[in-house]
Amino acid sequence: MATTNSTPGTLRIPSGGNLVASTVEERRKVAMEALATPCTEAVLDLSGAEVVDSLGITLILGLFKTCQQRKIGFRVEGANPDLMRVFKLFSLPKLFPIQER
Amino acid sequence: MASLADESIIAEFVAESREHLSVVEPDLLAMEDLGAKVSQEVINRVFRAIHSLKGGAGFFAFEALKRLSHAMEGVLMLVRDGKLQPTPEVMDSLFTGVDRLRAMLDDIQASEGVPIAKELAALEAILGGQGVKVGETVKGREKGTKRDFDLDAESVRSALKRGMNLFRAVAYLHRDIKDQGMAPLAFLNNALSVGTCLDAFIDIEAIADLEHCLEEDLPVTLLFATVLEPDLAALALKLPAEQVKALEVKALKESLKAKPGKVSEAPAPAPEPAPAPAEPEAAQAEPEAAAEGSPDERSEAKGPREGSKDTANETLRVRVDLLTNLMNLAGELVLGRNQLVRAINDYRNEIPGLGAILQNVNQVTTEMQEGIMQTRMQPIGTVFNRFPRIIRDMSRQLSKQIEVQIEGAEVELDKSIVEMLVDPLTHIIRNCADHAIESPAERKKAGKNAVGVIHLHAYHEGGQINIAVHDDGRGIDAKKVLAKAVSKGLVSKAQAGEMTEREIVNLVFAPGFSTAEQVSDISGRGVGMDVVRTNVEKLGGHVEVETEVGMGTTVRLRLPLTLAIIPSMIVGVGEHRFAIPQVNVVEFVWIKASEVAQRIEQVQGALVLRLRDQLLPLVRLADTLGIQRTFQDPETGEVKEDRRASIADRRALAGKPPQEAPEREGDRRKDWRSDYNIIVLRVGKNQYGVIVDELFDIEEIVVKPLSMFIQNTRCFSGATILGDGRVIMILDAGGVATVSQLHFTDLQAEELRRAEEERRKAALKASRRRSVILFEGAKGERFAVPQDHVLRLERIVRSRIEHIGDREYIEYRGEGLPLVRLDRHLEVRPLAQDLKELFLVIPKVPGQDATARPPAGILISEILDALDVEVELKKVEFKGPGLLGSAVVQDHLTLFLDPIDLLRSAGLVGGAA
Amino acid sequence: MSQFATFNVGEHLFGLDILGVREIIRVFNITPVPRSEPHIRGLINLRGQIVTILDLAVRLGQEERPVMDSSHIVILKAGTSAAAGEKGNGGGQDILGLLVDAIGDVVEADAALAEAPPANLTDAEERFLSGVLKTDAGLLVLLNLKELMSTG
Repeated sequence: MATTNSTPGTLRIPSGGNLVASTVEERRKVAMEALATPCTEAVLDLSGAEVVDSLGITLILGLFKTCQQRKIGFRVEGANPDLMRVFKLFSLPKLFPIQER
Repeated sequence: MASLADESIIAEFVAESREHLSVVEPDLLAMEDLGAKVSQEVINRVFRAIHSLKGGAGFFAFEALKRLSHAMEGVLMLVRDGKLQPTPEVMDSLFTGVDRLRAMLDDIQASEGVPIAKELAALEAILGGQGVKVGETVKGREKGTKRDFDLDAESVRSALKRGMNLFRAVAYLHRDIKDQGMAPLAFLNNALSVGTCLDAFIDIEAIADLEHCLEEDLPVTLLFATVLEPDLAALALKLPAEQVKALEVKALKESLKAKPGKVSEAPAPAPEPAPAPAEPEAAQAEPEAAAEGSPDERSEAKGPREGSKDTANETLRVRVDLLTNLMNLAGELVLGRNQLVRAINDYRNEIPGLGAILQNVNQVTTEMQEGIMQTRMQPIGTVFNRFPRIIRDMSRQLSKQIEVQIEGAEVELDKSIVEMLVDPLTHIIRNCADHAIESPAERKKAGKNAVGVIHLHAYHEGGQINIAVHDDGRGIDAKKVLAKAVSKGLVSKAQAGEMTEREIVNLVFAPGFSTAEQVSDISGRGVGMDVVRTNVEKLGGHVEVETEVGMGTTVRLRLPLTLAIIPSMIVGVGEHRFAIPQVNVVEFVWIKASEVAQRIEQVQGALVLRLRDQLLPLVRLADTLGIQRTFQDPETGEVKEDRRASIADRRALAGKPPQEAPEREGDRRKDWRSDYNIIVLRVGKNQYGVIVDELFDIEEIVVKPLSMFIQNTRCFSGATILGDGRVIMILDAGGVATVSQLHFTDLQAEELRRAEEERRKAALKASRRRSVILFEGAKGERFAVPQDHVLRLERIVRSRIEHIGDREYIEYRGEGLPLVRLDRHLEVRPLAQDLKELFLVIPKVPGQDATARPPAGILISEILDALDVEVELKKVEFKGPGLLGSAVVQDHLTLFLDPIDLLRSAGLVGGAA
Repeated sequence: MSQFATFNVGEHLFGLDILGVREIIRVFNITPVPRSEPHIRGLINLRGQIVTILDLAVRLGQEERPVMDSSHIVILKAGTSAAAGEKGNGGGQDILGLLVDAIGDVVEADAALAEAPPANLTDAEERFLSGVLKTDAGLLVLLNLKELMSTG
């Protein structure tokens, strides 16, 4: 498992590299398994990701949606400036907090 | 049921469904290959296709079609949800289901009669085993709540003040961004380069949860301000026009007043963010599919845009006869334009502005024609994509393991070419699977991967399309092919000896080479390959095969992009005009009459052109076509029959010493028709020259098919109408070569032989410095003879020369020595008459003792020098005996002589003249 | 009763059912086709369509002769040649014209009354003739289009 549980209740999900067409399916599975652990907040760590494509965005939103349904918090950390720009333009910060790298 | 009025809608449904099925097959193959690892995207695509087919079938009440697609949909749903593994049995049921669906679509009104019980039973057994009811929806989602644009009124006002239009643009993350090969950032950057994005949001309601998120294509909605007009805005944003809607400014302003800080979408006339298609009732049960928009809806939205990857699915359907008609009209228009331009070209200067108008008409016509040609372009993938299935079935039957790889499926060709390629390519590929690829056991024994690979590759090259079909099978054994060809009398034993391996292997294309049972034991290929070649050549293409025993075989097809309009060179032979497609033309060679003798020669009875270091077989088009040659009398202007028998005659004439027929030769050279216009043509890898009388322009010609009454001439590929209304034939370069019985192999052997000789000579030359004696003939004409060819140099007094008949002698050491004058044998001036003293070069006859009687003396006027030179001899313009060549020595052009050769031709020494 | 377009080739009067005739035109600019069979006179451009001209005289076993003032071309309807065009590629689309020495009137006659052509009536091979009809204009020789157009 590539997830860690540093603070109690907070589930950190590292992006494990870029979130693109070729990786999203695998990352989705990892995230699914991670979310099997009970937690109060999920953090997606994008510090390992330089590129997030359309599918990557879809995955992030899916993650957010599931957190919403389970009533757990969700935020994104470590977005590089390019990603930040995309997220902002797509108004994602209005949905959940996003922290720039 | 279907009334008459519905017929066209049903036809539309059938056409769409066929397209869906053509997409389904490769995806099913992928599912089978990858098993559980196949991406959801693929399964979803199949699912959607079958789903929309089912919807249509339900709508039009085609019960059998509906039941079968319904069952297939059920199975697909299980696979998608991971409840069912795509095992071979499952895939078989889907494949046969697709076949049945296709059969039903072939005659939709009789679709009820197509037996589907077996297929249904198989599908239902699978479904039953899973205990899932068909049609059960797996998940659903609530209708998305409307979301407002968040923005500050100020930026909207400022945008409006600057004259910008406001648009609501919807971009789907997958379809409009990812599938277009863009990253989200690139999409946004592009958008921001043409306008301002005031707000954007992603409709996350479309997402069920993490588990299913990747199947969704989320719409991003932008409030976009730009100075562009709506249609241009869509283009600039690279979005389908339907997804970019102008917002009514008035309503916006109202809403700004009413609710500062929030712009509600409601007053705007824009529709729902999702392009919710008006789908038939039957589709309502699966909202997730409906929300994504049926694929056909998308295809129309994307139609007019360029650069889309999957063109086969993104086209507007137009009846082919309509297009064909348009194309013909365009062709006529081009001809009309040509005539018009020709007719009024002379008035260009008299009527101001005419030039510009003509140019405009010219331009528009050309572009329109090109545009119409474009509409007929189809990706070769439409043919390629059927092969994985064919190979799948064949490999099961043959118990082989074969993988099909496809490259360049997007390469486009004229529709008619694509269609006509189906049979030849199927033939080639069946051969690959049947004969070329070995059984897994055999492959393993040969150290190969058990899985054989058939690689299909289409690519552009030099204005043509190449299609290569490569297999890694056993290859073709040239020896066996040759033996077969000889035994069948296709090549003679003599020919066989001179053929290259490549030529031998290409014998598999020869008519009558093979029948199925004869070839499969000797080679990987050959079954009816002559049919393949015939079909490809009918399209104006070429086919050839390369092979390596044990490694595999490549069949390569070269094809024109389009059939209908081709630039061609117009040539004249006698009174005839012919068009030669430019793709066949390599270059044009003009040979002056004075050079004919050196450039054109005979090799084994056939005419040959020496072009650089290549020997090209030469064809006189008039002879091949049996046309009476004519020429215009330079004085009277009368058209006469050309009585010049052949080039060989001219050669003989030119080779003779000039004094024998000086005047006739001189006259002839005045006639420009003694020059040769040669067009070098390409046929596959071979080239040959065609002699024509005249060359005209290059014209864009509209190819009209050849009447069946003249197909047996074998020299023409079609006919066309020129700008002046005249009908002319289009030459078939391959046919002309065949009819002229060109033997490219003979020439290659000859070329090799010559190259070898050249090398030997060059080596010899390089190894030797020449010691020569330099002398003068007529004033200013310098000669050199190698010192080792000279026995002695003598000074004589002119008055001592004696005459017997027209021969000259001088007394030399008590005997009469014959004298030779250079001007009698070479094209040089005679010696001056007034010289009292002359010199003699007395040659040394090889093998003769220095004391033996010399055969003759060559008369010269002056001995200049004896020296060592290092020169490279060049060929001289005129020919003559004993001429080794020319070189510049001491700043003077000097002719190098072989004196013995000269004397031999004068009959003064023995040996062959 | 059928109507027959009639025309002369040599001394005989030939007829074709008028339903198979598209139009009759004067002769102009025939482009000869090298290496074609002798009875293929060449091609013409008929308003943008290429028409293959069959020299009826040569086909019927007579000498080729120069085009005369009275010469005409009988253009056949496209479908008419379809029967012969089975093997050619798109051969059914071919438009054919017959080069004749002169044209005659349209003659009405009952095709059912046609008799078998007497042997040695013309120089032509018998297969090209489908029968003879006695008409007011004289003996009308009916042509067998299918055979005329066979490319064998």
